[in-house]
Amino acid sequence: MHPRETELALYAGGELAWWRRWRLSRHLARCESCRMQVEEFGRGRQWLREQDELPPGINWSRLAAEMKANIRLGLAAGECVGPVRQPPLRWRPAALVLPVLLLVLAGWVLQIWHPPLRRPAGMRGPVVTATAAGVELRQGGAVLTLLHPHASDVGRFASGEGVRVRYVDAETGMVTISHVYAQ
Amino acid sequence: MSMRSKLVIAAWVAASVWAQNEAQRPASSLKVNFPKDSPVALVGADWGESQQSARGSALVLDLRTSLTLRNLAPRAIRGVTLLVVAQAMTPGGKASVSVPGLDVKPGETFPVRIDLRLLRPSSTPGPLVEVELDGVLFDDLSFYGPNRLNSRRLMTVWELEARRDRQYYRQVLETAGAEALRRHMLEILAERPRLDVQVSRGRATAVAPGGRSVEFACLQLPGAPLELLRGEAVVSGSETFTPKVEVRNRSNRPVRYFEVAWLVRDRFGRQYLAGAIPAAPERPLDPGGRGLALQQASLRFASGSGQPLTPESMSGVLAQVEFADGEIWIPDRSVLEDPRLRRLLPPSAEEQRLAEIYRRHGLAALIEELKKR
Repeated sequence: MHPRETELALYAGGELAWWRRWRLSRHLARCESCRMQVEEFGRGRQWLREQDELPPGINWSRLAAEMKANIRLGLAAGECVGPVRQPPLRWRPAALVLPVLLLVLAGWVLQIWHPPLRRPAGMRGPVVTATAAGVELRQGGAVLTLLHPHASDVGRFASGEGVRVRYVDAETGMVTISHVYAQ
Repeated sequence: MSMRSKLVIAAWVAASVWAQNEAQRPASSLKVNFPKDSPVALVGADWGESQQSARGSALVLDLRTSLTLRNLAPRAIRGVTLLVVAQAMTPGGKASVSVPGLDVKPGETFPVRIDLRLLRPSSTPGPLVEVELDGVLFDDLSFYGPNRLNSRRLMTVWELEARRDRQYYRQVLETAGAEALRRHMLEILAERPRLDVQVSRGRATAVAPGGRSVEFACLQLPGAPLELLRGEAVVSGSETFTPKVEVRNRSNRPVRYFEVAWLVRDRFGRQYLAGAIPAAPERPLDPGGRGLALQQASLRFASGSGQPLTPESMSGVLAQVEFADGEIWIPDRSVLEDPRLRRLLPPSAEEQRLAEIYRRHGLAALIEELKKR
């Protein structure tokens, strides 16, 4: 399989990573058509380099001054024929005040808005959630949480009626199993 | 505003704040209610840092208690289950705390810790939380209690698993020595991936669009009384709906209850025990008959880091069977020693307890414990 044309072009310019360059050179050693394409790219690069070289005797300072003068002239002409421009917006004070306003607004919203527990689509009834801290039952505005603050090696499993948590009580060393039912 | 008005307002504000923040006596919020003929008696309660307070119009009970119970029965206690009922949440709001793997001789005491938090919209007189006895299992597998939570079956399963595992580790000690026992304990103590679980009960009226059905890989256990035929669940995003497994009774005895352990695998190939799918058919499952284990619920899983977990594949393996005559089947230890299953299934409660003894007190204490019973 032949390498892509872009790879050959990069190879010709010496811009391939060493590994890909090594692989491509192995291919070129046995593929004449690709080798010719690489040589073609090399010749193209050489021609471009030759076009970069300007004829001798150019006064660069004068050329630059003329170009700047032409640009200024173009801008001045644009001012004359363009529409009347509005006074620039004082964006810096606005940029400073806006985040502060947003922060205050977000704080106010968080104070008054308590997002409802996200309920799975189409389900009714209580929700039992087991996390690292404990097992929580939410039902009708009340929340009952069985905690296991001194637990280690905690396993959490969904059971038929809710969630079961099994852990070792770090104080007593006893295995304890909490079960919260969502019936 | 006059000085007098200012003083009245200040006093009113101070009184409101005091009324909202004052921590009330938590003992009156909890009622421990054991039957008169109960084989265990409450002999003490340590309230620790419990407190009850009002927060706006809501009431918060933070209960950190350790109940001390005494065995009044003539037999050793192997397990106990307490039912915790929040008055604000009846009839559905209930929880239980079970302690398996006990060896409490007659007259001895043992602690049961209950840590809970209750948040309810308003306060009403009377206790907020009631603790009742659901059941006590004795060393001869006899049971006492109202069994409202089916704790008889649960505690019997834990006790049978405990006997099976103790016998196995005694055998390991005798045949392979203490170092082999140590290796087993280290294997149990090794960190396993944990899931956060959310369960919403109720009939699924609509499954979210884009849901796909994921079939279970059914793992068959040699000698198991039930054969798993097929299973599936609908997965939509990180939500899993209504897992179900069809089984066939290949034993010659009717079955009245069975549970299928349910394992899920995420897209990184990590496997977790998600839970158990129970089945209590209305009529016992006759020999040769087919039955369905079904969990009518929506479940969400998250990895330990809180990332929602979408099950990519699932498997099921029979976990327990209760025959119509009350006898219970659990998998043999030889079956569980299969390396594939060993990796998938978590250790039993007794294995967890034995490993904790090893971790705290060392190998000698563990060997001593295994010799006890």
